[in-house]
Order: sequence, then C-alpha cells, then structure tokens
Amino acid sequence: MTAARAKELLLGSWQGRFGLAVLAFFILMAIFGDAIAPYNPEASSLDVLAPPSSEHLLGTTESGADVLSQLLAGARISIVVGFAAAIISAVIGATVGLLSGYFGGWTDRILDGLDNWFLVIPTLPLMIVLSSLLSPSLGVLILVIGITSWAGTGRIVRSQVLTLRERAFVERARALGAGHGYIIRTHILPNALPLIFANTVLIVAVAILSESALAFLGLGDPTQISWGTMLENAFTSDAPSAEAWWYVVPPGLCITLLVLAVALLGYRFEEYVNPRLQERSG
Amino acid sequence: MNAGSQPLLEVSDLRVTTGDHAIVDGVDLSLAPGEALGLAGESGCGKTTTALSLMKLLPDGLEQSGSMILHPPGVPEPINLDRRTETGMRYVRWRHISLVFQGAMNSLDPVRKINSQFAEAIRLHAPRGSVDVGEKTGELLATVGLPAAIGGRYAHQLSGGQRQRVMIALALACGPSLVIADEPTTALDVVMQAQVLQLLERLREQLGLALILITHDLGVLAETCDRIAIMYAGRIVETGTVESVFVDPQHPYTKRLLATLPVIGGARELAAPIPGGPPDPTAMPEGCRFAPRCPYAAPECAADPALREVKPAHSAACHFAPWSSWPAVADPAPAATAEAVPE
Amino acid sequence: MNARWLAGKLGAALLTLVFVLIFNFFLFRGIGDPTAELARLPQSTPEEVEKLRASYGLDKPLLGQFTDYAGDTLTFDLGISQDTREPVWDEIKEAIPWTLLLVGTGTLLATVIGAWLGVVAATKRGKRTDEGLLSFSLFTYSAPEYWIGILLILVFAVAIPIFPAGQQVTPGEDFSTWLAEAADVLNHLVLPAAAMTLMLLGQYFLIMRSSMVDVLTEDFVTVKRATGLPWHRVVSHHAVPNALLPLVTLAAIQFGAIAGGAITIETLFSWPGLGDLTYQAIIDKNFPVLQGTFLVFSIAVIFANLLADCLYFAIDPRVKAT
Repeated sequence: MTAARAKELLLGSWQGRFGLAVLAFFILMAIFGDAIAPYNPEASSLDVLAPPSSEHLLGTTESGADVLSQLLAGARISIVVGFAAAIISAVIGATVGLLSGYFGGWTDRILDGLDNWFLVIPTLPLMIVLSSLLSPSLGVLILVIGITSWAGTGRIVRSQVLTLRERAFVERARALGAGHGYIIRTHILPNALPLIFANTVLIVAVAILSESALAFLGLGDPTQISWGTMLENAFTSDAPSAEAWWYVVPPGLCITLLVLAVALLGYRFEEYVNPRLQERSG
Repeated sequence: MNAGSQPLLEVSDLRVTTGDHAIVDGVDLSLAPGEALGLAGESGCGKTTTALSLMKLLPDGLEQSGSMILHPPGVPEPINLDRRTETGMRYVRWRHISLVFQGAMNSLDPVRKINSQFAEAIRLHAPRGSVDVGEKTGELLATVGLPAAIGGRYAHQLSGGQRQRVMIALALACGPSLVIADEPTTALDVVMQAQVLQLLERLREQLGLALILITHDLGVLAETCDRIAIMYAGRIVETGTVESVFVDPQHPYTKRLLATLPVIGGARELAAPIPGGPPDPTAMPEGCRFAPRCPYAAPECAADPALREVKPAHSAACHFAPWSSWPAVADPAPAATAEAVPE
Repeated sequence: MNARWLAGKLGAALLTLVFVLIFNFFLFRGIGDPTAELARLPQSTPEEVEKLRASYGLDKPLLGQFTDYAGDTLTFDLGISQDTREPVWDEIKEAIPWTLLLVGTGTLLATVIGAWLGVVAATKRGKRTDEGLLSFSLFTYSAPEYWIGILLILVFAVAIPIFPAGQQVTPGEDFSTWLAEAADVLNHLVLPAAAMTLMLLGQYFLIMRSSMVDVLTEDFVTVKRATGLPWHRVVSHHAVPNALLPLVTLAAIQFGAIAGGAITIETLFSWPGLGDLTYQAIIDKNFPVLQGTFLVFSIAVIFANLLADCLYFAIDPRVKAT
C-alpha cells in the first residue's frame, strides 16, 4: 500500500477521519490514562454515588471512587483485549483459511467443518462456558475471545485462497517445482493479507464488545478496571435506580465510540480491499 | 392536416444532463406511425438514455429537457410528454409506449409468476371487468408463439429466448402504438436472435406498431428497420433510410462502423475496430466530437458541424458531406493510435 | 431434489449438534472432575468421594462416560443443579418460554421495523432521512445492548417511571383474571424487548437497505415503472419482496448474537429466562446448569438456522429450481 493511497483511505472520508481521531484519542487514553487520572481509580471514599461536581467531574461510584479516574484507567483493558484478541483470531482464522483453501481435499473438509461449527455455535454462550471453567484473568479473556471469533475470517480467507490458487502465477510457480510453503509464503499470503487485515480490524470491534459483555456478566478480570466492569459494578449496586447517570452513561458511551471508530475504519479498509481483489481476480 | 401524414412521435432538442455535462445533447427524432427506426452507436453514446427519456424513466440525478409530442392513433389531442407529470406519464406508459429491455433475464420480476405480471399490466390500463385477464394473457403469449402454460412459470424457469418473447408479449399487453426495444437480441444466440427479429417484424406488420430499435449491431438494424439514426457522443450524426445510409454513408463515423460489419461474399478480413474510444462526457472535444478519432479530420472540424440534409431524406453532421468518394487512409487512423480502450 | 436438499441441511444440522455434544462433554468432564472440589472439603471421606464419582459415572472409561452422557442428554436428563438440587432440565424448561417471549418479540419488532426503515432509507438514498437512519443504526450497532438497556431503565423506569425496570410480573400482586396478569407481563416486557429490538435493529436495517438499493437498480424495476405502475406499488409489490430474500438468510447469521443478547438483557432486567439462568450459574459456578443452558442455546441456534434455510427455500422460487 503506497503512502498516498493509505492517506486517501484514512483521511479521504469523514468515516476515516472520525475513526482515526477517536481511535487515537482512546489509545492515548490507554497509555496515559492512569497517569493523568485525578484520583486513584480504586480508592473508595464516603462520598458515595455523588453527582458530578468540581471535585469529581463525573461524580463517584457506589464505593465513592472517582468515575472519571476509573474511565481513564479502563481504556487500557478495552484496547489491549480488543487488539490482542483480534490478532489471535486473525492468526487462527488466516491459518485455517489458508490451509483449507490451499490444500483442499480432506484438509479442507475437516477445517471447513470446524470453521462452520464455530460459525454456527452462539459465541457469547461459548465464551461464557470457556471463561467460567478457567479462572478469570486478562490473559484468559484475550484467549477466550480470540479462539471463539475467528470463524468469519477463516471463511473469507478460504474463499480468497480458492481463487488465488487457480491464478496463473501460482500455477506457474507450481509448474516450476516450488514447494507448498514457498508458494503460500510468496504468492498466497501476500495477496490475502489486505483482506485479513481489513477483517481483523472489524474483529477488534467485536472483541471490544465481547470483553464488555463478559465483564458485565462478572467474567472480567477482577483485578483490573474496565468499562465493562464499571457497568457491572453500577448494575450490581443498582446505580440506575439511584439515577446515577454519571456512573452508567460515560463507560457505555466510551465503548460505543471506540467500537464505532474501529468499525468505521474496518469498513473503510474492506471497501478499499474488496474492489481491488475483485478486479485482480476477475 | 391529413392524419396519415402526421408523425406518431416528434422529439426536438432532447437533452439529458447530469450535473453540468450532457449525456444526450440536442437530439431530434421523428417517427411515422408504423415506422421502424433504428438507433445505433457504440456503448455509452446515449442510446439507452434516449430511450428511457422518451418514457421519462431516467434514474435520479439525470435531468431531461426538450419537447416530445406523441400523436397516438385514435387520440384526438396530441400528448405533450415533456409537460406531463409523473402521474400523467403513468397513463401514457405501456398504453401508448412500451419497452422491451436488453437481456430479458432481469426484465421480469423473479419472484412473481408470468401470469401475475401480465395481469398487473393489463388491469392497470383496462377498465375494470372489460378484459378477461387470463384469456388476454393466453392470447398475448400465443401471439409470440408461446403456449399459455408458460404463464404459470417463473422467469428463471424459461430459456433466454422464451423470456424475450414473454417480454415482447408483455409489451403488447395494452395495445401500444410504439414499442421501444433496447438491445432486444443481445443476450441471445444467433438462431434466437433471428427468430426474435422476425417476430418483431411480423408483429409490426400485423399490429401497425411503430418501433424504435436500439442496438450497437448494425446488422440487426439492416434487417428490421426503415430508417436509421447513428448516435455519437450524445448526438445524432447521421440519419436516413436504411438503404441510403448503408449504401452511401455520409459521416466518417458511420463509414467506419459499416466497415466493421461482416459482408457475405465480401472481403475476408474485417476492418479494424475504430481506434480510440468515445469521448468522456465530462470533457467533450470542441467542435466536431468525432474529430479526434476521424481519419479525415481537418482544421474545419474545430467548428461544430450541424446535422443537415446532404441527400434527399438523408442528413449528416459533417462539414465535408456529401462525400462523393472516400479517400484512402492509413489504417488505423494516425490521429488516434494512442490506445484502444478495452471493452 | 427438494427432499435431497432438505436432507442435506438436516444432516449438517445433526452433525453440528453431535459435535456440540462431544464438545460439551469434553469441556466439562474432560477438563475438570466435577467432584474434585468436593474431595477437597475436609469433611468428605474417600469412600464418599468414590460414591459420588460413581454416581456421576466417573469411574467408567471415557467412551462409556460419553455414551452415558449422550443417552442422558437425549432423554432430557441434564443432571442436577448444584444450587437448587433440582433437575437442570426442569429449571431450563421453566425458563425457555420466557426467553422465547423476549427473543420472539424483539426479533419480530426488529425485523419489521428494520425492514421498513431499510426500504425508506433505500428509496431516499443520500437524502437526510437516509443519513439520519444510517447514523442511528451505526450507533445502536456499536453500543453494547445491555448499556442500551441501562439507558432505557434510566429514562423510562427511573426518570419518567412509566415501565417497570425488572422482572416479569409485579411481585406479590394477586391477579383477578389471566388478562390482568398478561397485561402486567406485557408491561414488564416493554423495556427488555425494546433493548432487544434496538440491538438487532441496526443490522436488519443495514441489510435491508443494501438489499433494497441493489434491487432498485435491477431492470425489472424500470420495466415495472414503464408499465405505468405507481412508484409506491413498484416498491411494495416488486422491489420489497425481492429485497426481503437476503434479509432471511442474513438474519440467520444473527441468531448467535440473539442468544448473546438474551443473556445480557435478561440479566439486566432479571427476566427469568435462559439468560438469567446462565448468569446465576456463572455467579454460583453451577456447572451442570451452565452446561445445560449452553446446550440449549446451541440447539436453538442450530434449529433457527435450519428454519431460516427452510423459510428461504419456501419463499424464493429460484431455489426450488436448482
């Protein structure tokens, strides 16, 4: 991808500019969030569920902790889990799709069957089952989301590889006696990479939502604050009934904005990648 | 005025624009009742847009202007199509003018049976209870040589030829005086093409239909039409009787188009397709629009040539018409060797 | 040919189901011995643990354990809840109608409203209505569904208290007629069903919109207009029926998300369905119940997919021909 095209892709539309700006904002928040937080996010006080004031810009939680500080600290988990899980999912999905599409035959039947199975099985219940069997931690969260979210990538990569496999340059390489590993590395993977990348960006959005849902259900990492655990705490302490909007609105809004930004970027990449692929394979 | 000499359709200065550029740029057409007019040109020259604008069916974003007057037989007052609103046009569509689209594959609703699509069109224009819809559908299908049982099928259950016949039968449903057929044979094999053309010709004779046949295939026009109009870059560049235009073309573009036709018993080798592509509508050449591709282009061509009668009943838009002879030129034309636009 | 197609789909669904059983079995029995925690209790004797292991069938070889498990499952014996000591199936059986009520209402509303808005947006493509609807659907698509639920509670149960914020009936209320009870349930259904609808609406809207945009460029739409049909009839009688077809298949992809949404939304509103049951099981580490609800969710989604295939088959005349 040339620099000019990358620029056009990211800055050529409001979706790209919005997505990039919001994502950059939250990445900065993830890096510097706890440093600029006005309070220790976990420090409780007697000032319980206090509405926003000059002391607590976004009010306090049910234990009297500062909502703004928790919000700033929570960005890290969403970003880390979202990207790490998406990378795991991309690696599994790309591997399964590549092997399945390239080798065909029984390899394809088994791997495609596996892919279909993961595609059909409801994801959140599966994540719940896996994470309640393992004790909750950041690593478990990433792993569980990663290994349950790859089926879509696998399917798309497989169909892309199926068309690539029949292309002239692959046939030529094969006729010249190139090995499978060589062909996959030099011809198949580089051509499938843009598609894998676009798909992975979309998975980041799904992973962030999954983390928040698991955290809301009490399956988040108990030692760390995330926007999902904030909503869980707000829910279990009945903050909505106490009209503590300052406690429930900001974390949800942050999740929504981050997911929206990533999804918009993902769609931009997909739009950019797809016509070119069609053109080249057509 | 004698009703027999009155034209069925008169179009003058038809323009279709999008934004600030024109796709159809000042087209004049006149059609006598029962006459068959062929409209030909390369893809993108504005043929289909012209056809759609005659029924005011242009997609959003395209604006049309110019006068269009229809004199349907049996209707005392002429119909000013250009002044009609969308609602007003609904009474004209199909009752007076109907349309057969290119590639009948997608011209029929895939999820409704043929019968129901006929019934819908018939009921729309016939007074309630005046027509037995089932009987009428059967008759229409019989007219195009199809059994009535076809009516119980879906479009995908028919062959390409059958679908095109169904479409023609549907076009006749409300007894129009003009049928516009846009590439009616393009998607068909050669045998089916011939059959569909014969059918159109027969129906025209039997029903006294006027026909506007739009195609890029001049061979099709030669067989079917009385008169022919050649379009280039949104304008008509030559028009005349089929015989006159085919035997003695008066515009270099037509000349080149005809040279690409296979002739039985003629030279084995066909002339190369015209080098270059039609101009970009956003950047039309000044003066004669064909000049950049024309082997005979001269300084005069910087001025816009008007469409004028150069022979009896034969007009062309070329400064040098009438051509008495065509000087030999190097082939392909040196002015436009640049790059043939891939199809 | 129709029968073969159906048999193929049915076979694939059954195979998926078998793998769910295998997966479920290995996940819970292969990874962890459910009696291990009991064995760690100081008051349990080795004999007692052994007896317990035998009662779970854990003394048999793995294959035998699996056939036992599969046999039990097929006869609706899903074990005993560690929490209530009731058969898991009884708890699930009670929860299923509540989930069906919530999910059914939400899906129905989302499909109808989403399809309708999709048609409106597609026919007004690029206009302000279209852009407004697109932004709204992108927002609901990006927002966690339980957070939308929390917002609904905040607005419609707390700030303007017109709907109850949780549970399925007013507790302690003695209803004179079943109609009064039904009305009360309906009143409790409003907010969770609204959350469910908003969660699905965006996707259905986007699918219907793009499907409609595609159909509107088809030749037959121009031909129908050329026959003199009024535009609204071209849309309602020809474009919409064609555009609905992809909605059916693509909606099937959403069944998994619906199951996920049922869990978080039921949890939030204490709606006594499978989702709430799952949440209780998570909190109590009640594995037999968790295993049971996972199984039921999986079966439901597999079955719903099959149903969508059949529905597509029934409404698209083109599928039958091939």
